[in-house]
Amino acid sequence: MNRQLEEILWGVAEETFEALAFLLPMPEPVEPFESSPEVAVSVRFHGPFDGKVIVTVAELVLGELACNMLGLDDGAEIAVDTQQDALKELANVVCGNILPEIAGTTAVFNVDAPKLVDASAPASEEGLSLASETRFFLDSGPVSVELLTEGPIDVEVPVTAGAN
Amino acid sequence: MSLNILIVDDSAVVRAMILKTLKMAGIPLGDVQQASDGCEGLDALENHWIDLVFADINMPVMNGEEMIDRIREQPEWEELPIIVVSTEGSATRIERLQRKGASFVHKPFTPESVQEVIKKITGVSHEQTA
Ligand SMILES: [Mg+2]
Repeated sequence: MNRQLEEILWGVAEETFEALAFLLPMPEPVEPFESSPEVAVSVRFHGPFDGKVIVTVAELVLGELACNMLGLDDGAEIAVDTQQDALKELANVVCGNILPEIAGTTAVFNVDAPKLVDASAPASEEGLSLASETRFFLDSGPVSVELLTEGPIDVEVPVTAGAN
Repeated sequence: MSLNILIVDDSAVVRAMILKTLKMAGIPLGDVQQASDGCEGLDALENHWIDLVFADINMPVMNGEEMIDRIREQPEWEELPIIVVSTEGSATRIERLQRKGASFVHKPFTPESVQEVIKKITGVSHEQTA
């Protein structure tokens, strides 16, 4: 799998979780976490290439995510709809920031409204295939960010100084 | 001086996040109105005195760009400060919004990035503690 794409996914996910929810993604779990069912949101996009971004989190992550995004106290009761909306916004921001990292700021993409999808169903469909993915952990459980595209894609943006 | 603001976004979570960020940035807030699409945004403008509008782009019923066009058609709103809050990455689209007199805050935003734009367009910065 494309290493550059994976680095873009990881970089954007790391920045977004930190900026939106003050959560620090870790490559490995820091402490054992309770396992819980998963929730997934998909964001479809159309442009120089078509595809979708899927963000999947454990249910326990969802609560923490929504609480921090809304700036509520730990353990505050948050309606399930609101928790899902928080994940939708997070996925929207992840998708919106991944695309220009891949295709540059001259590319124009149309991004659909994020949708809740079945986390247990296989992600690939409609002629889309997995281009890259990143998996990491928060204190409350695992997260994955997948990029599916119609056919293979290349990273158009020149590698920034400091990388080789 | 406190600012009367209008936040237009189809996501209630995003509206809450913008409000939280304004409070964290110490922006002196007056009346806060919320709307979930461009039409509701125009209604709120008709009925309330607003100093500053935060607008999303992708919304059902009426999107943010159309709302901005409608706002600018009204002589009394020609100079109304508008900040578009979006993940938009296309330079062409961002410039088009800027030509309509909108400022731009990229998502994810921080209290600092929001504070900076507000100061630039309204001259209002965080609350003085004197
Ligand atoms: Mg929207």
